[in-house]
Amino acid sequence: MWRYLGRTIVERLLLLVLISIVSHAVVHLAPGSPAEVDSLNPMMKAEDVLKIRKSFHLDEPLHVQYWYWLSDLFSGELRSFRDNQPVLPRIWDRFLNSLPLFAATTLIVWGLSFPLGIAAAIRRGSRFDRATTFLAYTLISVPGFFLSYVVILGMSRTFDLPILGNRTIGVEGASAFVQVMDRLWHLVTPALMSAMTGIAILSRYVRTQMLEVIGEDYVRTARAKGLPEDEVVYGHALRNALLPFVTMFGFLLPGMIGGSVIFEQIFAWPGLGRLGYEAVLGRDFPTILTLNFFAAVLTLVGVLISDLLYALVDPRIRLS
Amino acid sequence: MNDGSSDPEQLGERRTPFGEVWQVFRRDRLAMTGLVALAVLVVCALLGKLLTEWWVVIDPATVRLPDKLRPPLSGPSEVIGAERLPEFGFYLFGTDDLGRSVFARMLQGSFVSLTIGLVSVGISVGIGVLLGGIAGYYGERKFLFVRIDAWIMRFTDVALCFPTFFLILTVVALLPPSIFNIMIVIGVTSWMGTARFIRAEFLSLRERDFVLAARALGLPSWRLIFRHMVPNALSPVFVSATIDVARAVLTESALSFLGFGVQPPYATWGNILADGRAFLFDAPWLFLIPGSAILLIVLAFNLVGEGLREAMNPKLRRARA
Amino acid sequence: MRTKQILLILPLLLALLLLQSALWVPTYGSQAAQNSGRLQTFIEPRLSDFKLLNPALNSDATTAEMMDRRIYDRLLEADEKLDVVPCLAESWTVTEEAYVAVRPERRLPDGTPVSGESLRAAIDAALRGPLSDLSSKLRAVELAPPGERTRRETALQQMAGGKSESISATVRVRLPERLRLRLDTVEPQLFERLEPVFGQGYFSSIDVKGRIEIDPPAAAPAFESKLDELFAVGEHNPIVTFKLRPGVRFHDGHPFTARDVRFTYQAILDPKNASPRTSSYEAIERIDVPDDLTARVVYKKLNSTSLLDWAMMGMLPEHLLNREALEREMKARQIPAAQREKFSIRDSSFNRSPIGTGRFKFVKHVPDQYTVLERNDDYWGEKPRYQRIISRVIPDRLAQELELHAGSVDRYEAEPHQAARLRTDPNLQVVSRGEGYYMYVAYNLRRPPFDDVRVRRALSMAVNVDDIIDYVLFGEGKRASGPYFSNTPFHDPETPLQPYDPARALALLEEVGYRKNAQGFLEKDGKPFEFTLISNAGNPQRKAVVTIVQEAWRRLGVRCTTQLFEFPVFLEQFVHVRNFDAFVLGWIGADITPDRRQIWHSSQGGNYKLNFTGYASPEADALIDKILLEYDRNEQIALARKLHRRIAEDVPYTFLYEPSRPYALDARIAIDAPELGPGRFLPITTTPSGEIDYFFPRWFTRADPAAVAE
Repeated sequence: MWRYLGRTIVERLLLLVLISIVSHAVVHLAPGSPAEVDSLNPMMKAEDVLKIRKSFHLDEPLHVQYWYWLSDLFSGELRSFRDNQPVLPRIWDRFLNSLPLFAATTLIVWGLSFPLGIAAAIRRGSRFDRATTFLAYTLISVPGFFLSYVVILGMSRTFDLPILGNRTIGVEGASAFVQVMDRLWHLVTPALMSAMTGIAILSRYVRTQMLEVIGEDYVRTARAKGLPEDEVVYGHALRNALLPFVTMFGFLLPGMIGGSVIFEQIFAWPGLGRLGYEAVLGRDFPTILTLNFFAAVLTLVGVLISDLLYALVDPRIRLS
Repeated sequence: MNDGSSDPEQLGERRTPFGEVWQVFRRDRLAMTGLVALAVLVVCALLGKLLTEWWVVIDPATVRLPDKLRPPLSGPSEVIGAERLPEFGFYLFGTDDLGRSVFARMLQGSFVSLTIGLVSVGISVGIGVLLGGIAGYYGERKFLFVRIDAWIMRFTDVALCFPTFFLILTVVALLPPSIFNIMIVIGVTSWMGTARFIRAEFLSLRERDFVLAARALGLPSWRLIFRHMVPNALSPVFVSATIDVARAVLTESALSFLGFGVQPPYATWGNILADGRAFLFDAPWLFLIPGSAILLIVLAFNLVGEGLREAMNPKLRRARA
Repeated sequence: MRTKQILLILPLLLALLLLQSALWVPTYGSQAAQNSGRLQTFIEPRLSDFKLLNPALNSDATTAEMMDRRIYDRLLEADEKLDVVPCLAESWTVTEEAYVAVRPERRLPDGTPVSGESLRAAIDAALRGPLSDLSSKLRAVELAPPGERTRRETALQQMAGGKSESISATVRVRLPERLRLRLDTVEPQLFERLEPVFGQGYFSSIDVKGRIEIDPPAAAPAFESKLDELFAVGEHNPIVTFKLRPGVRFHDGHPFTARDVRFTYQAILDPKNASPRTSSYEAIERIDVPDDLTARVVYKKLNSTSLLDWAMMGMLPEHLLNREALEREMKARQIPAAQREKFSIRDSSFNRSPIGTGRFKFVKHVPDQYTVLERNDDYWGEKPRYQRIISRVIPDRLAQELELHAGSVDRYEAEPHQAARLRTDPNLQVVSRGEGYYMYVAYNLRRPPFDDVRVRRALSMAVNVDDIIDYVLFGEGKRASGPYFSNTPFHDPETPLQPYDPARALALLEEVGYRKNAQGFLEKDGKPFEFTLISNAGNPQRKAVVTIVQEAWRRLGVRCTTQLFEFPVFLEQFVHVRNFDAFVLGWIGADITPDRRQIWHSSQGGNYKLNFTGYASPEADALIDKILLEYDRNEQIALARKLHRRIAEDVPYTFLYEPSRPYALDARIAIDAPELGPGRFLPITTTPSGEIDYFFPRWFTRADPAAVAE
């Protein structure tokens, strides 16, 4: 077990270095320079543009730039091209902003998918099953931003409620309770919208798993023993059907960066996804690279966690 | 559910594997609806290419500024000259902010959108089959002291560890936004599933009797691979490819939404939708029409994919019968 | 079964918890009722976050809007008619010191050898004769002993592969004995007028190489073309003397003095700070501070527009940013010794918690979310009515509109189609701002057929700009005729607009030799007229213009393809390296200065410079140079108008339109006007200069919503 752990961690660290080199090359080889080089400013001479390029080391060979980035990253002195502010604290801030949205989305997805999936599995072939099936496919197929804007269109036409950002600016004078509720309300729509695809996929998956398990012999035996149907379904079948979902927890992590770009952009949510989007737009190389790096870390950690969890819950699997 | 299999006529029929799948698929009403929708879409796309580019009957580029933001089914105003009249004498899907016919643009976009989906999935399946096949078939050989299989699978892991959407965003933002770049980027970032799939299939196929027999007969390995193994491994790939097309179309529209999608002069459903967003309150049809169209095509691909998956899955098939 | 119950009840509870929060959220109407501070707060959105709140380090529009007249004050200001008026400087005078090198190898016209004394005598004689008008202006003529002058200069060095690199060097000049003439005004023609007195050719350029030493020597070739600027026989040193307003304090209570003016200049020029404004201030030789309230700015050469730079630059506090202050900060932040050498103002935390002398104090900045400013109750001038400004980052106009409806911003810049709809909303008012912005199509004059003015004129005539204004801008704009914005005096109202006339356009192209082929496209010598029109993605108006222009040209028979690129790519790969046929872009900008050298002078056509088209007209060059030498405002305006007309006639751009940018505001916002009577107010209107928030200090939100209907 420990040997396995040690080996995978070393392996993954190597992978990480490889990934960071590749992404560094991709970002730097592509055309376009950072937005700080505001070269359309009539007050700025060509000399000035070149001077600023130099101060960002943009004209040095790639491996030297990579070294600058890496050493700055680990000394905590990495600074954004855009405003010269340290990158790491900013990523941490944004991470804290993204966290509630991510948590709410995850809660909604997991909270709704199980009842829906189980109900569909039990009533297989019924009208309910067919309706949820079709609904699930529709939700998988609908572009997230399209649905969000349809909701925004409906909401803002009917109620004049604020739905953008993570809180209403201007309620600082109100009571603490109102402020908490205000934050909670701002979570609702974006969390619901970003949960849609997740609900659809997960509830379908729950349904399939339940169907597989319900067909197994031990469930038939339980049923034959005359146990109440609920006991059979929720006690025996569900417990066994849950197994594969444990591994999915690990895969949730990386979604924090990539999966949220669109919704954070639509709902003006100041999270990691939007940070990444703005960094890409502004060619803020240090921020792009560091975000990519952390996304890779999250993925690797996620895979590791899911491997470990799987080994923990399924005694048949031995890590070797 | 038991009508088909008890039909005496069909009992006598010799069932090919394909025929068997088709039998099951045919009974899946959702999947069949999807298939019909896809057929309609393909016709639309071909017609679109034909009528808007080769033999220009319906011109999506005609600007009619006085007729901007007309709702669907409305007619042109009097100031529009004869050479700028819309295709049927009225605007079927309304007009956009420059007075271009949304119907004409949707028609033109259908071909581009479909092409992006198909080509990018073609690329991803190609890479996936190649790498997965090598890993599965030649995996035991060594390259630089390490098994080829390990090389390829580690490489797949690296690719999997990139946050896909963010990577696509970075690359598309940094590369010139040509339609080919977008196809390539979507393709290059989504082959990993196929590669793993094919490798697993190949590993199990290698041990099957017919492969062992063929090898014992001394058949060349390329013949073995392409004649015997690839066709057998391909059917699950086909299923996942169908669903991947749906995903690629969605990715393209998401990129367009963020402003990194296919740029004019190409109209895609994604960028029609993205452009329409600014006019959400003024001309909702500019947003709703392409949005619904994307929903429909993606849904159709998904339904067909799921239908195929069910039809090809022996376990589920048994449970169904 | 418990599991079943949990599975059902938990999601329900979650849903209830989330949805009930809607009951507590303040809506537009209830916001002010719930907290009284809301009416004293002005909330505005921005599309993107600003970078550094330091005017020396940033000059982009987003940041400038936040800083100008809010956190920082400038020495001078442009008023609502764009005239320069006092701000931190109460008054200013413009004088001159002119230097004439003594050339002992020459003789005066009467045969006497040239020496300091003989030159002085010659001037004295001339003042009684042909130069009598100067006698009242010439304060003194002194003899300056030989000496040495050391300056830091930058030049552009051509590197291999067409790239160029900026290179700085220390330039030492051994100065000969010189005559110093102190004048009460700037006399641009002084040396031309002295020439007959000192003898023909006295001021012609001399070989200066022997006098100049460049360190490092490797940089010398880059300065080859600039030698005349490094030393000349006659040198003008215009001097601007500012008298500062007494009693002005920074937000931390420290008094504002002339040393802060000098420090601001030094901060801009310090290469460590990599300031984008360097080029405007390099013309300054030095700033003297004779006393706390006097700043004497000495310029290296004539530049009539350099005074205006002081109306664009906020004043920094020296006591917070000088070397000692930075040392203190480094110690407090425990910056490792290795990085202390590199540490500059750019790295200081000041840029995120700035201190100026302006009407508003900086309170808080949450990156990419919002910034809070608080009223400066000790402000020296008119104090604003609002207690607080919150500037929020909302990255999209549709979202900004939604926030305006929800009452969580007070105004935003609307897209024209939004403005057209919002004008009918009784809760809102829409005011259009009209200053400094025009949209154009630029042609690459280096490539045929764009080198032929008839072709450019034909392409311009084929575009119906009025239609664009009517339908794309919903009437929010007017046609642009040339390079100066119509809200400035430099704009020539007589310059005719290019008419929309496709028939004449076709005739012009036929004159050049183009004929329609079988497919209806134009051809010349078997080659079709085809090219690519590009622009940047992400700007809906530009995209619309590209599409319309393309279609208009197609109807003319021109095969034009279009492409949009992301902004940095668009600049780096196409515009800056001159790799384009034609593109659509806009100039936004400096209304108050008539200097257009960077965009239209033929010397600015090289890669990365701003004369994109490669426009080179000797007549325009002469006008541009003359404007910089002309200190009389009316003359300057006359020259600028000539330049406007000259460029318009050469059509290097198709000048399209100047959009008036509509702003939607809460209808309750008005301008306080106590001078008209108690409780009286004025509606928000556009000033002659085109601004809408010139009177922002007097803006306030009326409490009674009943007044809205009025």
